Parts: sequence; structure tokens; C-alpha cells
Amino acid sequence: MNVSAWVKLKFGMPFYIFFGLFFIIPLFLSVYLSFTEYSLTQGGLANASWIGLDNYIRAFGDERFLSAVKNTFIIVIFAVPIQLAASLALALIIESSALKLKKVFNVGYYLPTIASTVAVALMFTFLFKSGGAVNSAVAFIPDNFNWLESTRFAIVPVILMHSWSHLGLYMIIFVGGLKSIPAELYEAADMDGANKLTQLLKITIPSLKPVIFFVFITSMINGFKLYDEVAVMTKNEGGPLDSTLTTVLYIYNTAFKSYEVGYASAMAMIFMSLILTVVFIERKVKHAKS
Amino acid sequence: MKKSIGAVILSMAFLGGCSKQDDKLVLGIWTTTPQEMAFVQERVDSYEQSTGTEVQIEVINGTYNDAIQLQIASGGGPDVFYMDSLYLDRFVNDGAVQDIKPFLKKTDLNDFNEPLLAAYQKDDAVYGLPKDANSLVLYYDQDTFNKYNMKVPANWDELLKTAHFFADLDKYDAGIVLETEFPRFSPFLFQSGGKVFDEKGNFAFNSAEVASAYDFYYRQLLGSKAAKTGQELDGNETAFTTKRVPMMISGGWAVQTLEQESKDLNWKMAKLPAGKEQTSMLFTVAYVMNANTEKTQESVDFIEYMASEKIQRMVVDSKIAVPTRKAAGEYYQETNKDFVANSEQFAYSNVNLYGVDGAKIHSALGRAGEKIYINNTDVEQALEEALLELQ
Repeated sequence: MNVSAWVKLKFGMPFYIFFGLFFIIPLFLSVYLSFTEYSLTQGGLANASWIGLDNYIRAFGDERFLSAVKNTFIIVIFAVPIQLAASLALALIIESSALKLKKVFNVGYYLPTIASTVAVALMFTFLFKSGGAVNSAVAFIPDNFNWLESTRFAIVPVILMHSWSHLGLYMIIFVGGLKSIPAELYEAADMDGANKLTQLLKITIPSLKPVIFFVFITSMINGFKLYDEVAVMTKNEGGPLDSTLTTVLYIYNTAFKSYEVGYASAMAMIFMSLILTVVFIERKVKHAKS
Repeated sequence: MKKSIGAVILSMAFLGGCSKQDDKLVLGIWTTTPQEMAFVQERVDSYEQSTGTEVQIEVINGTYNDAIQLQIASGGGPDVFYMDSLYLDRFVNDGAVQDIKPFLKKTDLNDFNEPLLAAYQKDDAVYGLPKDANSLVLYYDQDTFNKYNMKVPANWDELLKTAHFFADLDKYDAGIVLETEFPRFSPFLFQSGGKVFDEKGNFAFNSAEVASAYDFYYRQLLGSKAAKTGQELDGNETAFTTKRVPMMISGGWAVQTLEQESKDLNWKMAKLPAGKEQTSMLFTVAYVMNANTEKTQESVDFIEYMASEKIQRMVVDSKIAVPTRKAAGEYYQETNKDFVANSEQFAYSNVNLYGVDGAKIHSALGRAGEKIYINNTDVEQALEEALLELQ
């Protein structure tokens, strides 16, 4: 090992230690636990009893787990396009030369990202409750309709809340991307007589492709990880009747409410593999296109 | 290099040590109101003054049970902590709490209300001393009942008729506000003559009796305009205190809130209307001792003090709950005449306790009710599905 490599290692050491302690070791422990029967009240991991593949076999036949995975995919499928489109639109507005008080809008749009999850969840509960603002604002929805008690529609407030609460973050990323596009490109397009829509489609979006891909992946992973907003909104139940039960919420409840950390770990492993597969396919598609 | 690693290890040791001071006894609790916190602090202060033992209160709100599990798994946790009866069997089964009986010096176990203490006894061991308890009761608006010359319902038929009467006035959102969760429904299950387990410990809830209770609660009451859920009405207590409903079923814990937030409401408390059997549900919390603690005798001394008659009399004065000791219970009957319905039900009610998988049973039986109420699922089918889920 030459000196330069040794110095690099030393500088990287704090990261390697924390990454190992808080990511690699827990990951391996989780893999191990997924083959065991274990609850936290048993104390140390030495008390976990090895049961082989039983947890995995059980997970594939567990209707609640499959339903939670389905709900999570529904949320991701709807929330990701909403977040992408809305955050890009906000970034374009913020970066528009016509807009005054840009900083105020910047802060305003970013606020939901830093707002307390509990506050956001309560706000959406009030918006979508029977007699709430949404029912009052939309004429064809009966005033007494309770979104959160409907097994078919309870997921709608969840998708909107999740989309809204992350908009500011993605908007900031898009603003950064927009700033990196050379102004000369737009000047040349202006001289060639291209209108704003053409400039958006031919310059802005192609230039933002790496940023769009980053936001797409980040937004998708955040969607898959969705837990806290649903937990607050549905008192940790994912109700009514599991209609808003997300995978992470179910895994959490299995570990902490049903005292089955081994089974919860197996579900977490299956779900992690699923996410990695989706991300892998997306990367392949992106590379093939580029 | 060695210095860097040493610094990291030292920092982590320091961070780890920040949560607990080794010389102090740690009490893990949750609180629901600032008044309750002040009440606990006052009792802990009095213990510190009388014994010289320092006690650190660790408040964990929201995810209390989850946090306690994590602390136990890491070999730590508070020396003494609150334990809801529902979770005790799991903690005992996994060896997370210790038998305190061999260390008791002053406590006369015969002075405790039998069903409440029994919830914390396994064979000859005692795993905790219940600190207080509450039963589910019927709250009603006395002025409204007087105005319409209605009497307080004493059985299921009367409850249904009374709730419909008020709902039909079109003055209220419903006759009564209820919750769909299993704990609130559970007394009706037992009132029907049904059981969750048979004598051999097998599930016995898929019976005609239990089906009749589900039908009454989730279909006849909640499925009609007679009743609405707390979620529909911005919460149970809010619906009741704002006079949107003249009746509510809740625990004795609601007294404090009602006294503070309903100055213009002349509310009263009554025993739960009876089915085939007269019963309610008892919710209790005990002080238990962590199996990881090294301060065994100090912990038990503290538990004995906190569950002593002197302290339980303070519980009575605070109106937070009903004491679990018989002697203090008599004091409660004398000083809280308006709330005796809460304590009188203790003699014949069930404790919220369903074995090692209590939380799973709660969840499955609660979902059975939701299926009936929301999806209009056949009662027998919902119970059959709950049984399949639990097996």
C-alpha cells in the first residue's frame, strides 16, 4: 500500500466505521434474523432459534404482506409521476425570470419537506375527513363522505400527502439542475425563433435527464419506504382493513406489535430484493437508451 | 490510526452512557397529560425524600412498548417500568421481566383487587403490582336525558332504543359515539356469554354468542344511524363534550378531560348496559421489574412504595384512575361518589389480557369488526377469517 492510499483510507475511516456499524452489520444481522424465530423481548440475538426458510415460505403465502406490497406499489406508481411533474413545474416557475420574490417562494415550497410528519398527517386527515375542505371544494363529492373510512379511497389522501410532503426537496434538486443549463442554449434557441414549449422539450428536459433520473429513483425509494405519514394518519394500523397498509408499516408492526422480528426481517429481505430488482431494471433501461 | 479508533470508541461509550446515570434508579413511563406527569413526579419526589434513593424518570410517549423492547434487546432498559396487562404474558414468556415476589417486604398481596393482581401473577410468581385501573363505562348527558324523560339504558335493547331515539331527533349526529377497535368492543363479546378461549386454551370466539355481540355492536349500532365512530365525529370526547352525541362509551380515564373541557355539560357516568351477562373491560397498568436490572432490591422497594396504599390514595384524589388496592378502593367509593360506576364494575369484569399473542388477537378480532362494519361481511365469515389468521 503506498502512502497516498493510506492517507485516503485514514480520511475515509470515519465513514467506513459508521457505514459498517450502522449499515453493513445491521444488514447482515437482519439476513441472519430472517432465518430465525426471534422477538426483541427475548434479549440478545443468542436467543434467536434457527428455523431455516420457514419465514420466507410464510411470507409468500401471507395475504396481508402481499396486500401491503400491492398498496406500496400503487402509492409509488401514482406518487412518483405526481412528484416529478409537480416539482419540475415548481422549479420552472421559481427559475422563471418573470417571478419576483423568488426566495420567498423557494422557502414556501420547501416548507412541507421540513414540516413535522405528525402535523402534515393531521392536516391531511382534516382535509379529507367527513365534512372536510376537500369535500366542500369538490361539488360531486358528498359532504359526509369520509375518505379515511373508505377501503377503496383511503389510499388517495395517502398518495397526495406523500407527494406533497416531498415536493420541495425535489424542486430544489431541479432548480439546481436548471441553473446548470448554459444560458447560451436558450439565447441561440430564441434567435432561431423557438418558443418556450419547444425550448422546454428540446433543451430543458434533455439537459435535465440525469437529474430527472436521480429524482425518479429517489422518489421511488422514498415511496417504497413510506411509513410515518401512514402510521400517524391511521394510528399505526394501515386501515381501514389494510387498504393503506404499506410494506414498511406491516414489517414494523410485525416486529414490534406481533413480536416477530425474525419474520419481519424475512419480509424486509424480500422487499429489499424487490426494490433492488426494480432499480436494477431501471438502470439497465436507462443505459440501453443512452 | 489507533488514536482515531480510540476516539470513536470513547465517543460512542460516552453517547451510550448519556441516557442512564448508573447511580440512579430508572423508571420508564408514558404519560397522556401534563397533569399525569406532574402527579408521577410528585410521587417520585416523595420517594426520593423518604429513602434518599435517586430516581430518574424516562418518559417514552407514542411508541412506548416498542422502545422498551429495543432497550431490553440491547441488555438495558429502565429498572422499573409501566407494563400494560395486554403485553405482560409476552414479556414473562420471553424472560424480560422478573418475579418480584421473593423481594417484597411490606406489601400485603391480599389487599389488591384479585383479578387485577392475577393479571400479573403466573403460577406462584408475581411480575408486577398494578398501579391503577379503569373500566369502560357509559357517559351520558344528564340534562338531555331529563329533557326527553329518558332513562339510562341498562341492557342492549335499551341501549339500541335510546340511541335510536336521540338519533331520530335530528338534533344530534348520532345517539352514541363508539370506537371500532377491539378493546372498546370487547366487553360486548363477554356480555354475550361468548369467550375468546375455551377451558383448554383453544380459540372459542367463532361461536353464536360472539357472533351476536359482533352483530349488535358493528351492525345494529354502528351500521345504523344510532351510532357513529369517533373518527367520524372528530374524536369520542370531542363529540360528547360538544353535545354532538348524548352518550359515549369510554374508560374512566376520560373523567379528567371531561371535567376540564365540558363546563356547560352536565355529564354523568353509568355502568355499561348488560347483555346476557353484566361485565365490562378492565384496563390496568403495573410497575414491573426489568430482568436486566442490577438493582433488584432497590427496584422492588420502589415498586412497593409506588403501589402502596398511601400513594393509591393520591391516585384517588387525582381522579386519574381507580386504585387497585381494596383499602384505597373504599376511600375511592367515599370520595368519588359520582364515579362509583367505574369501580363497582371491577367486581365482575374481565381484564384486558389474552395470553402471549394478545396484541395479535386484538388486531385480528378488531379487523373482524371492521369487515362487518365497513365491508358488510357476514359475521360468521369475518370470525372464521379471524380464526384462520390466528391459526
